[in-house]
Amino acid sequence: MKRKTLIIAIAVLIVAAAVLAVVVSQNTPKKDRCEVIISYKGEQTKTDLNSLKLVQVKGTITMASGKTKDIDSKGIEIKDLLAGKEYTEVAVNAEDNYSAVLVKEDIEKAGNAYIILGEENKPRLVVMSDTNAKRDVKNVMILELK
Amino acid sequence: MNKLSLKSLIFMALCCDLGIIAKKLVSPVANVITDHLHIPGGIGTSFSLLFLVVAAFIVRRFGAGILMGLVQSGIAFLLGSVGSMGALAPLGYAVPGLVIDLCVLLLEKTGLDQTTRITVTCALASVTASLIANIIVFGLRGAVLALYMCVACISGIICGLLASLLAKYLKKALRLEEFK
Repeated sequence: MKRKTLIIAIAVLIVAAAVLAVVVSQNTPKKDRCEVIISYKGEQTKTDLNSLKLVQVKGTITMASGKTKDIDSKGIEIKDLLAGKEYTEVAVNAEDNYSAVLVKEDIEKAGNAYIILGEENKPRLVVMSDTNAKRDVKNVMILELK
Repeated sequence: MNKLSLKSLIFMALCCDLGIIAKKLVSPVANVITDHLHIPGGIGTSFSLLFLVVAAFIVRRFGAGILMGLVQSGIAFLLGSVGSMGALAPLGYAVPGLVIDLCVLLLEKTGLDQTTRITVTCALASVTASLIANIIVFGLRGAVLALYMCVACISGIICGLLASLLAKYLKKALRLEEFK
């Protein structure tokens, strides 16, 4: 086999790989979705946070151990996410069934309760006024309005 | 199989180790590429097989490839780097080893030059390893599988060319008479 044949074989494979890469990338669902389900009056609506107008959330939360952790991520205030809906409290449930409850006052307090884009683009609940980060819910799956 | 000399066995063991180390070293960069292509791998394994191909072409004994594949799977087990194949990892290492053995045996009679034989062997072994991984773990189909195989083949060819260079240098450096 001549060197030319080898080069042609590699070139054909590279072209085939490039074409296939385009096909695969077009057919692969995008990973940058960050979805939460809002359960309201018996209906469940999926919302992609990335499709909403997000703000830069900066602040410091205090962990149960007393240590502080800086938050600097994009997110949305829950009162904006739930604008126009009636509720007295919201149960925030994670993928692992960990749950936290926010009362209306927590949510309506300006700059307090956010859903931010957490690690690996997963939604995360952050309550700035909490002193023990008990309601720091990672991998938020569903917001249940009551 | 004729008895392997101690020198050959030591050389094969060294190549097994180097293959595992090469795979570990290349994996971070390879993963960046394969993640972007949405495929589960196909690059790192070629670097692991590169050293097996070099050893098989130098030692030239049928069964050396399978033996090295099994030894590599043993090392991978001990290092905890069997990946997603788990307990079936020996199969994923031994079958490409068998392909290497068959290529060494069959391509010798084709009259192809050394570089081509090594390159074809490495490419075929790499594609086989990817196919086995796909059957055991990934279950890909269609365009994704085709892309996975293409990437495995390209990386196999590149590693094959590197392997042929390495084999030539080793032949000179170690004065291996068996290597033609």
